[in-house]
Amino acid sequence: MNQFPLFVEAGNDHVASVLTVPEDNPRGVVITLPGTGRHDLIGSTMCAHLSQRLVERGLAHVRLDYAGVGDSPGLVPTWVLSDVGAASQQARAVLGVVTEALGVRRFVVVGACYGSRVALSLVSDPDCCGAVCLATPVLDHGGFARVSRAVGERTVFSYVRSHVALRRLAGPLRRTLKARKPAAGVVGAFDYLDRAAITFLYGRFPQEDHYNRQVREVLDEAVVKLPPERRERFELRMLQWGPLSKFDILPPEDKEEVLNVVLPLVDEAFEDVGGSPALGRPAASGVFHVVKP
Amino acid sequence: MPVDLERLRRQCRYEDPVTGISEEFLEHRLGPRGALAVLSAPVASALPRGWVISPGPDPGNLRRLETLLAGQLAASGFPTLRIRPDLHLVNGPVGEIDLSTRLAEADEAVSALTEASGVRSVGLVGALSGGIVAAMVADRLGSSELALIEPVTRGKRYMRETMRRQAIAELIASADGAASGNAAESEAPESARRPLEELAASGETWVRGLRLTSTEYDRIAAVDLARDMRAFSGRSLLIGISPSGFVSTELDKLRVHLEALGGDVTLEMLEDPLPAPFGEYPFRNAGPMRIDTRLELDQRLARVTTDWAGASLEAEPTEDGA
Repeated sequence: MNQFPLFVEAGNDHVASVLTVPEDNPRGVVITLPGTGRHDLIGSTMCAHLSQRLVERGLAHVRLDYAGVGDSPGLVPTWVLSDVGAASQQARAVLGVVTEALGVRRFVVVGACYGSRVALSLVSDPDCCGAVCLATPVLDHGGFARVSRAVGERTVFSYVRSHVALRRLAGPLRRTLKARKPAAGVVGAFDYLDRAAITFLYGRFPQEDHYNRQVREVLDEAVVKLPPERRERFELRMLQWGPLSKFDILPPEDKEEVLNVVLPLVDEAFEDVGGSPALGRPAASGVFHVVKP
Repeated sequence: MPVDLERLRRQCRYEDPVTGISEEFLEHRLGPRGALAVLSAPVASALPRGWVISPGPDPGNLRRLETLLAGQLAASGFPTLRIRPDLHLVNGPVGEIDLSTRLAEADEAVSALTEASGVRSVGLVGALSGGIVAAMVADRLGSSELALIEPVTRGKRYMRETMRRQAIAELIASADGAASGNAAESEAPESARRPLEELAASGETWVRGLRLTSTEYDRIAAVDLARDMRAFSGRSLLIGISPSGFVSTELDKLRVHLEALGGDVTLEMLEDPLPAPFGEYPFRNAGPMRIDTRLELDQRLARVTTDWAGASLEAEPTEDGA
């Protein structure tokens, strides 16, 4: 096993990343994308834990700090869940350097929380074989949240209150705008299920992993519209360890259990590419798969 | 197709023409667990003094601050090396609160910086528990400069506080379990309720995902910088952070101690509302946004430290008398 810490140029940014490669030529690359939580190590603790195990399976692994996080220079005052453009560009830049240097094109992406949104933005790449997404935020905030952030909630209220006609419409309008909606980037990734497997994992205390009844309904609705061969490449699993969004502080045995779920999914994604869905992969639409030890 | 090792090795460094610095992962690994070393240096000529930034046994949410500080020190002419504990090729990911290893890394970092950049003297910087590491190494090596940001000065109090926070975190988790209607989850494990007892009984416990052995607990708890620093008589900067600007008794005690050793001490208090305790998770959710509540403070800390570091050079004549 060899390790290469890298600074990769991505637009105006430089992204600190760590590539770990097996002794022999790797059969693929796994890129892991963290959320915005506490990260003691480059690319988060979960990403570092995965490194060794992936390399033992003959895979190269790269993890990174987004610009403005950890060891990547830059200043990012706010993170917006629905805007993964810059992070996606950084991940693509890192993948570009790594796949070129290793002479390997196929990759699988593993993301957590915000990182799973970034992960799903990479699925459109023809070389992407799959995405394993932990604690994916499926819903975006509605228009009301966006408007009130932009102009200030009080300003909106004052304006509406001062107009009789608007006042009558305010209640229903607010309810409509406040409703959280499925993120285009999440549901849009399902278009690539013909060649890339996508798995969503949520943990114990699912509400802390951005999961609730509405998420389930949105996913059910999206998946049921898919043709059967695509539907079979999507899976939703509820795990009994977690919350996955707090992987860093989970007890060591729980970390191990979560990794033991992620690793076979990565393997399956590489094996499954271009063919029919891997045998034994459970159908997904609206089915919970509760994995118990 | 063979791996293009040369290309990968070239990628360990970049230059930023805007700030006039370069950053590089050194090939040299530090300490018994092979921590990464990142060197930030001015692209143009460097000053003869460098800085090592030491993380603490509990790294906290401080990597961004350390990166920012390294960049600013480098932009001011100081080669600066920051230590990055990371995945060990043999032993796996770092996951321990380990003062002994952090001290060994900082010791080696001083030599690595001297070797890589040719500086003649090296100062040390540490924030929170990294302050213990920086101060102990500066004291041992006879460094001329030391900058401590909201440092932990008494290990015993720090460890007790750490264990208390762990117990509270576990209680909250178990309350969440009860709230979600799962009786089994509402029962906090014994280890969560009494991490100190678990430490005593089995010789180890887990704090925020990091392993803590009783040996390391005792080692950290035994530290009292206002007693243990015996030789350091150089320039030092002590930065405290509080919402009111109030100087803590412990920080003031350290100031008095360093002055008694003959040091030139500057104490700076930064007022900040600290929406989250310094070193903790700094983000606040606001609708669809996650706001970094510590960005401005980190920038101020980097600026104050860099200004103070630069001020020392103004007072000193350079070798060629310029």
